[in-house]
Amino acid sequence: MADIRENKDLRNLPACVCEFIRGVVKKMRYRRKVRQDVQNELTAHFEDELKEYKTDEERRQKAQQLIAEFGDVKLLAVLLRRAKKRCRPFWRSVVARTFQAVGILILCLVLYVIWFYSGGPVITTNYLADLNRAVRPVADETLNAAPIYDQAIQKIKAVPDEISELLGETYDEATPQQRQRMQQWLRDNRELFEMLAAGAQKPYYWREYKSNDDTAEMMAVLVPDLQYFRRLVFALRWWICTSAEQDRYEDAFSGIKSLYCLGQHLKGDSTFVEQLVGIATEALAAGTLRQILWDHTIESATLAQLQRELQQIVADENFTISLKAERLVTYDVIQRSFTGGLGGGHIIPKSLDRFFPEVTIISTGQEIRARDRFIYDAWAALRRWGYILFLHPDKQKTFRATEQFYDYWEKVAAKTPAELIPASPGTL
Amino acid sequence: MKSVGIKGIAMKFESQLLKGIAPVVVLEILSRGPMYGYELSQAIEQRSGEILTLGKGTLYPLLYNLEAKKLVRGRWEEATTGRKRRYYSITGRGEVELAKQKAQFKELNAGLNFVFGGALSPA
Repeated sequence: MADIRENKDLRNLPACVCEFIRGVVKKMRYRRKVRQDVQNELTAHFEDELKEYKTDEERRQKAQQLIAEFGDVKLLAVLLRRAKKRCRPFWRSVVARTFQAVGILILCLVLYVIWFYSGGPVITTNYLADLNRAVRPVADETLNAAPIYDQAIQKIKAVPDEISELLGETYDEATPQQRQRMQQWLRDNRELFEMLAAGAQKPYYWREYKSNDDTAEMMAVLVPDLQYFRRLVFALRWWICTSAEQDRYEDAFSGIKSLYCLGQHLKGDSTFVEQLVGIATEALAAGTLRQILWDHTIESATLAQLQRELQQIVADENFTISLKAERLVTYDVIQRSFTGGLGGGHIIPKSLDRFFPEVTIISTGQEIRARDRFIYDAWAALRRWGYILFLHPDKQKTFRATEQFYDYWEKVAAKTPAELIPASPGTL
Repeated sequence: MKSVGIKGIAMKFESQLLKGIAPVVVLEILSRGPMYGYELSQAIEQRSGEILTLGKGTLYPLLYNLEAKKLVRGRWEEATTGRKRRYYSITGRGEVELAKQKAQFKELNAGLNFVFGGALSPA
C-alpha cells in the first residue's frame, strides 16, 4: 500500500491518537486517496473533541476515552472500508470485478496447466509383444531364414571400406580395375552367397523385435540391420552381374532367386521401412534380371526353367502392404502420449515434443524480419498451446481416429491399381 | 447504534429496537443544515435532550453508507474556525427518504399509543 501523507495536525494530537488513526487507516487497505480522506476526517474529529482540554494529561485521558468509544481498530477499519467501497461509482466496481474475474481465470489457468503438466502415461498394453506375436508364424525355428541372414550380416559387416564403397557402384559404372577388385572379393566370399541361397530356401522369415530400453516402447524398436541388408543386396547384385558376364548363368539366376526371396522375406507383417526395403530388393532383382536378358543371349530352355521357378516363388506372394506394425506403433505412441485419467485422459505436453516435433517453416528465400518472425512464432505458439490445452481430442477419440485411419488405408492398400480408379469421384 | 443512554440514568435500549433510528436521526439533523462529523454527533445529543448519543464507532461508517446511498453529500470546506472539515448535507433523495421514514415513525408511534393507552403521548 502506498504511504499517505500525514496530516500535519496529527502531530499536534496525543501519541495514542496518532497510533489509533494510523492503525485504522492502515487496516482499511483501500485506495490511497480514500485513506487520506479518512485520516484527515478522523484527525479533524479528534482535534475538535480535544480542543477544550489544555493540559497534556487531560488531553491524553480524553483521547483514550474517545479511542475506547470508537471501539476496535480492526472492526472500525472494516466498517469504513465497506462503506467507502459502496461509495465508489458503478464503473469502478465493474473494473474492479473484471480484474478480479481475470485474476481468478488466470489462477484457474495456472492450476489447470500445473495439473495438465503433472499427468503421466498409463501403459496398459505391450504392443511390442503383440507385434512379435503377429510376425511369428506358427512354425518351427528351423524354418526361419533369420539366423542364416544374421550370419550373412556378420560377414558383410566385416568388409573393408574400399569394398563397401564399390558395392554401391553398378557393374556397368565400375572401371575395369574396380571390377577386377570386386571379382576377387566375390571369389574370396563365395560362402556369403551360399548362405543367402540357403536363406532363400527357407519358407519363413521372422525376427524378434526389441526395444533399446526396458520400456518396450515401440518407437525405440531397433531395426539395426537394415543398412547391412542393403550391402548384402548390392553384393548379391555384383555376384549376379559378374556371374552373367562370365557366362555362369546358373549362378546368376540362382542369385536372382536368392535376391528376390530376400526381398520377399523382408516384406510380410514387418515394419513399413522393412517392407519398403523388401519391395526395393524385389524390384532390384527384377531389374537386374531384365538387364541380363537384354545384355546376354540365353538358351530358351534355361529361360523356361527360370520362368517356372520364379512363378513358383511368386505364386503365393501377398503384394499388399501390411500396416499392422505401423498401427501398433501408433497405438503405443498414443498410450504413451496421453494420461490415463477419467474421460480418456489428456495429452502429455512432453510427448508432443518427442513424437510430434514442430514443423519449421521453410523460408521462401525472402529475408524474414526478426520482429515478424517473433510475431508469427508467438501467434503459432498461442494457437498450438490453446489447442493442446483445451481443444485436443482425448485418448479414446484419438484411438478411434487412428483405427479409422488405418482401416481406411488397409482397404486402399488391398486394392489393385485398376480398382483404385473410382467409378465416381469421391468414392473408393 | 452501539451506545445509547440517558445521562444519569442507566438504560440500555435493545439494539434491534434502535436499528433503523440512527439514519433517520442523522438525516433529520442534516436537513436543518450542513454539518461535519463532530458537529453532527454534538447536535444529535443536544437536540435529543441527551437521550440519544451516536457511538463514535458508528458515526463515520453511517455517514459513508448514507453517502453511498446518495442520501447525503460530503464536501471538504473551510469551517468557521478556519480549519478544513468535511461537511455533510442532505440531498433531494435524502429528503424524500427522510419524509418517508418520519411518516412511518408517526404511524408506529400512533399505533403504540393505542396499545399503551395513550402513555406515549407527550404530556
